[in-house]
Amino acid sequence: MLIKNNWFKSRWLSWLNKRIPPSQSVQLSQRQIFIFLTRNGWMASGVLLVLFLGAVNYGNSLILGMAFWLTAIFLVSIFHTYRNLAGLTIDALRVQSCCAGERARFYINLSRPENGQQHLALLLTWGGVQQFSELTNQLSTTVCMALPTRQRGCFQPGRLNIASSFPLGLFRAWTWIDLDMACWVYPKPLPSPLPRLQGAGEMTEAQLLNRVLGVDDFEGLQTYAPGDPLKHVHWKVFARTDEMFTKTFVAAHQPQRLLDWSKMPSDHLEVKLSQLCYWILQFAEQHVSFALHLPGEKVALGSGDLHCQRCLIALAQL
Amino acid sequence: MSVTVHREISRNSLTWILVTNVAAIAPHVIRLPYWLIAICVGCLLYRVMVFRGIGSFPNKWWCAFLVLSGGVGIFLHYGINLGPEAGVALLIMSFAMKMLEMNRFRNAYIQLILTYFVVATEFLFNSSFYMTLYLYGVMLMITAALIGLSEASLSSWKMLRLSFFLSMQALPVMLILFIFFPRISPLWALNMTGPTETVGLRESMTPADIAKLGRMDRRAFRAEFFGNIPDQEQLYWRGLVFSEFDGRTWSVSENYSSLQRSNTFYQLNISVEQPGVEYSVMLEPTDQTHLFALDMPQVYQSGINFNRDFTLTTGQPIAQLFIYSVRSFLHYQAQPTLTDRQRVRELQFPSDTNPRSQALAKKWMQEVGGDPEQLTQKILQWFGEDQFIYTLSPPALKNDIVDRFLFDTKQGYCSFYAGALVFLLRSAGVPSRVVVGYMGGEINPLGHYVVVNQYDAHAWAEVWLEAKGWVRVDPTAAVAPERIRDSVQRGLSEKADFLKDYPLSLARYRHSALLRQMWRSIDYASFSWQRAVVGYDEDRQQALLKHYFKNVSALSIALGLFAVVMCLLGVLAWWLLHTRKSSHHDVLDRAYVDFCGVCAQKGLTRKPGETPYQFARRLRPAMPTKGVQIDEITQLYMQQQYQASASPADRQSAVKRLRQLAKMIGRP
Repeated sequence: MLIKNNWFKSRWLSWLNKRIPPSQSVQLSQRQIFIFLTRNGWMASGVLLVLFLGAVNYGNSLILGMAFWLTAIFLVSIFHTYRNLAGLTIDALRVQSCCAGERARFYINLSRPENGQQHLALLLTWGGVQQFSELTNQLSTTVCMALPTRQRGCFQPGRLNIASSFPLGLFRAWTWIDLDMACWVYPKPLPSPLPRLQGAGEMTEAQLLNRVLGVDDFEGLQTYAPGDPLKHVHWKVFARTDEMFTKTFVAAHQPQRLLDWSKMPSDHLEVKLSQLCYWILQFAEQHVSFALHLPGEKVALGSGDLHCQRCLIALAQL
Repeated sequence: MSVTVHREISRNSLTWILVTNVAAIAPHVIRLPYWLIAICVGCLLYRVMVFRGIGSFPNKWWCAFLVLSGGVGIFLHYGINLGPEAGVALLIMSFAMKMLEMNRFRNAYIQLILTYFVVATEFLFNSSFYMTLYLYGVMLMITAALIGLSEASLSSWKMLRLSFFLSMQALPVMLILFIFFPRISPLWALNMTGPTETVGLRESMTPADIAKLGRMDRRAFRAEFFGNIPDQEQLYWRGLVFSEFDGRTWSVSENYSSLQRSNTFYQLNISVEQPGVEYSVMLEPTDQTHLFALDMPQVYQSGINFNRDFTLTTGQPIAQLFIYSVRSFLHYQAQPTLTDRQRVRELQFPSDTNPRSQALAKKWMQEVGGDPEQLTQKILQWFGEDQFIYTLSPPALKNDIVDRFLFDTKQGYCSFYAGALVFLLRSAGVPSRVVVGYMGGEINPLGHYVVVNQYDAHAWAEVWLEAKGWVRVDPTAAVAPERIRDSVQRGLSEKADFLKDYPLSLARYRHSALLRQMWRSIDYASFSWQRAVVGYDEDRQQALLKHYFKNVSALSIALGLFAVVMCLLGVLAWWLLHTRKSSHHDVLDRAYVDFCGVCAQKGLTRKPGETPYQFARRLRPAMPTKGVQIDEITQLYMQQQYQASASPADRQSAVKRLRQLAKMIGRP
């Protein structure tokens, strides 16, 4: 059964991929929009049928007229339901990565042409999250969807479902679009002591951190490199010489700024990564330079957002 | 882990739903039992209370108890035999109770879709034009409420507007379907009880019955004539024939009622004089099987019987407007000979009652020498000359009602006179019977039809004369000739008791010319509505189709219908869905786009995102001879597009120049 299901699912997905190929920008048209009765629509059809049978059996022209009118209204509402989605343009904007278990923020933009139709009561479903949106007076709107993540690694939320049953709720128009969006999910941070250092005794985490900070004494200046924290730029020198220098600080225990995979106090791969992640985030918060050694990849000493991100991605990729 | 958005019903939509529910139930209220109305009001008030934050939804046990007891109540009230009325009552009860659990989105949808159904059921009981208008209005509101449910942010006005647009866009399809969709006969027989309160004449009559109808301002039927309308004195609409008398009540003879079948004039020994008058009767629901027609009626419509007492009946009680066409022969000779059994039946009376009348009849029969015709004349003369009074509110009679009426009170309505006449004749050995139906009616000159109201109800007698057969004798004509000549309302409207229960009835004030004219116009509108829409049935559809499409098979009509509906929907879809691309490009843009088209023909297509200047820079080396024109076009276009001070006249000349230049570039 499961195999069969999977087979159908893969067939469905490959058909969908052919029909609506992944793209960062999609304008909805006939090709992307599906339309069918909702549960309420089925019920309304049942009521129509009963009305029709009643009208025939009682030979009642006026009930028949009403049944026909309702039928016609329901048919016309198909076009309105379709029109409510058609012409809507969805653009992939950006993604905010996160740690496993947190929510990754996916930003997309909904827009319509200047002479286009309004789009009402849009229900966006993506990765198990539902959100309403609409485009009435404005021409475009940005929607942020916070999608829950589970595992570290590359997170692809699958296809985005946009649906609307406006105006009567009897028909539902929907689309499955692949915006080709993905993000890295970092390991879930796990507090742990830093590995024991040569010559130093066992220290608590807080002490260690204090120590690192405590010796953050001014050491000298070095030429500014992109990625250096702006806080550390020597602005007075910049004002005088028009050259940017970064103030460097030294910590007493230089080796501690190397986060080494092999030294993490655990045997389990995921746990090690989580511990590393925790320390990377800690250092980043404290603006401490650090290096990261992973099997197969070494990130040189550095600091700043980009450096931090690079390290985290390295963790996610491993 | 999934997050689903739970939508609450917005307060605006909830208000709409409740208002539409009330509007849908309102017309039903007059037919519902009081306790059911109380339940509806109670449910509504409770729901409004919950809506305003007082109290909470009842739990499911409470709901189950309510539904159960309500169902039992309906069965107790209407009995096991569920006719449309009981069915609708049940529907409305469950509908009202559904309000109590309308807390979720889905329930609200179900409630609204059911509202359509409740609205439709009203048509079973009322098919007037104004009710239809009202009900279609409610339908519009329900659609609006559905719209509001799917999009809570819309204002009430926008909901109604969209609902109106939807309905209007659907209207052509509806009309085509209504006219051409093949009407089919009922799929299975239904137990149609129609209105529980029987309207009009019944199968038996005590003298006071017709007087009750005489005070009723309600339409019995309309008859549309194809040809001249006969004189008022000839408009005797035969409904029922009473041959059975038990001393108090006249009723239809068992023998006749059990032998309802279609007879021919030949079978019944009737000869008629051509030509007859043709008309079609639109009978309001009566919940009875008898129909009304002028003597002698001939009908060629399946389901209608011509009976041995010259009446017409249908197989089923008439629960809604019923239309039938009749040809009546006003001059006829019916049954010049009677069989013995018939003679016995038409002479039957309880011989131990009304001794005074019996004695009088026998005495007079001897006086006239045994001639039934002369005896009838003598009795009629007596009615006319003695102090007989024609009144709608005669004193009540007990025991020997004929004697008391003829010799003591001498006050009565048509049924008193007809009954007394037949009793006297039968006492004297003359076969005779009472006929009830309607007399006269008001001619509406706008539509060439006669409106017959309940107050036109009438009773007269039929006397059998040797060799002449059955002859109509109307004793009322002898007592109150104006009743026959002018129809009842003019004869009686001066009298205080005419329609005294209907102080607002227009018929009371019909001596005012303006009001009469108004009444006629209103009635004509209602008549046209009934004829064209309510009465549009299988027969009429076939007649119409035959008239316009001769010899076209049913299949091709069905295919044609399908094609037309699809075309209509296609046109609508095109109109709704095609985006008007040119609408936001103004003339200037279009001229520039034309220029780009010219360049494209020469193999130089403007790339997306390329500015006019960039494009010009790319064009110049490719078309060295046209450099001047290209520059001018670009300059002109940019100037007009982005210069705030450009006047409309400037713009127009610029567009003209642009087009010229584009043409020059197009030339080799």
